[in-house]
Amino acid sequence: MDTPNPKRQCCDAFSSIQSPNSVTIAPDFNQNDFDSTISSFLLLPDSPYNSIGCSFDRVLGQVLDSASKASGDDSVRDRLIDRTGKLAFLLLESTKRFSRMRATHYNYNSWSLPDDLTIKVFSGLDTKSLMQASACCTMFRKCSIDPLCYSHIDLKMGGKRIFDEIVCSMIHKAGTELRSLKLGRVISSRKGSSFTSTCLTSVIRNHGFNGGLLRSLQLYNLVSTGTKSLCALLSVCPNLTDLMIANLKKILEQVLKTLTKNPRLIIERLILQNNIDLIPASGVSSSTVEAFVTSCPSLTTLKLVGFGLKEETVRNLAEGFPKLTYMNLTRTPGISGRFLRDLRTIGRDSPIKTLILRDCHCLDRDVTSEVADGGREIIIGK
Amino acid sequence: MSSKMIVLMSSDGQSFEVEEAVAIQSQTIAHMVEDDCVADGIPLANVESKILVKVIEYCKKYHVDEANPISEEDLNKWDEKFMDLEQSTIFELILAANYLNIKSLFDLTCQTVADMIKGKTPEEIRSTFNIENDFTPEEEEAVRKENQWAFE
Repeated sequence: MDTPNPKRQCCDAFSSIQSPNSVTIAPDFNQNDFDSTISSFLLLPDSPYNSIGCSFDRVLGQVLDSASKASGDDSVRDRLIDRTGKLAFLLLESTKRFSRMRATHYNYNSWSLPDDLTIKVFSGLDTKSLMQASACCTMFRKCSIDPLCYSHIDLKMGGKRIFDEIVCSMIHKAGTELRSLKLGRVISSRKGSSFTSTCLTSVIRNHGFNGGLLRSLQLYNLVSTGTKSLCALLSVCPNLTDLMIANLKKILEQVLKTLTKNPRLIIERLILQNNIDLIPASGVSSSTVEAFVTSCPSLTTLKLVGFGLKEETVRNLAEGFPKLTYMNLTRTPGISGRFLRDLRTIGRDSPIKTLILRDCHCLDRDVTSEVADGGREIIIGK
Repeated sequence: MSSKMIVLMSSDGQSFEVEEAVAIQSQTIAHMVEDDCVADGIPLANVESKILVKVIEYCKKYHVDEANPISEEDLNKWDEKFMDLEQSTIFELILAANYLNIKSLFDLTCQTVADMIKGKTPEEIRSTFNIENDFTPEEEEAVRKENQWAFE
């Protein structure tokens, strides 16, 4: 193993000892003799008669006494005590350096994975756990800086203190490896989280952010999610396959419009939930729905919870997507379920396997009870 | 119905006969089969027998076809039981899966270790994996400060 910066440490050692009033260095100072003295000291065998501690006491006492006698005053004695303390400190620091190097070496053997595999393991961690791991040892810290660890940024478990700068710094670390982003607090409280719309704006402005590579975006309960910043973010992420927004606050129309502006939408899973406390607002215009349906050929999962969708809208949604297998329209008041009849007859080829209509108060029991399953699962009720 | 068999030889000299269709889940082995250099068996210098046994067990389970149908749910449950191993074995499996280029096993083993790290404090992580703190006091302070939000 290399000695840790011996030249630098030696210079520091001498400069601190060579203060004006310290013991003078002999003019015929010989480095080799000096080194061999230190070497002899370090290699001292244990004394069979008493502990090394007792020997230190005894010898230091003798040295101090003879120094006092020789010079006749106590200042030499005092300086000698300080100097001895300093020597001991320097020796301890040097020992700690070697001790750390030993620990580093030990860790490489203990953990037994090369850096690239460690990074692969770390890429399976949520962001908070990644931070905890980075504080374990120098090897983990080095690996945790790699962009691949930030491919899936998951900050939804974070506490109150996740500020915009932290989000931006994570995105910056990810660079071109960012594939999915989860932000916000999963359990919405009255206070919400510290994420604000400024966070979304700064995400876009962050020079490292390449929205084109982002595949999955999940936003939970962002307080005061400005429509503009949310739509701006969606506009720069044209290749999303997964989009989930909880607590949308009545802006379904704008979100769908923004998504539809992209001619090549490849989105497969879309989950939008309205605020649980808000009375469902009016849903969407039929033109927006039509445009949305035609521009999302790859959609397999659709979940729109708590919006005031009309029967016609729901019919268009149920019939319009060629690959839709799962549709969840919980808490959509105002639909009677008549579209189900059409689904059964016209949409015989409809790929929908699972249809969930919980808490839809106006659902006509007669309609729903007469709908044959035919391999489909229809869940109604609470 | 005869299926072509391949012989895999572990680093400690043991031989294992495996169906070719099962073995080629390893991209490394698949390439060797393509290059037609498997006549005398395939020596796997980086995989010892104890680990090779587990790898073969995994590949056999994952060789899913009409004769051997299995649901994803069942596979996941089996994965959990399969990965109930000593730490050192799990690490060896990561290295083997990487060397043999078996993506699903590689992903599974790495995620298993990641799950062992999740939710733990640095002290707990060190204790789990027998790692020592080799930071200087200043370095450690800097790391914690940098990511303060994660330590509250």
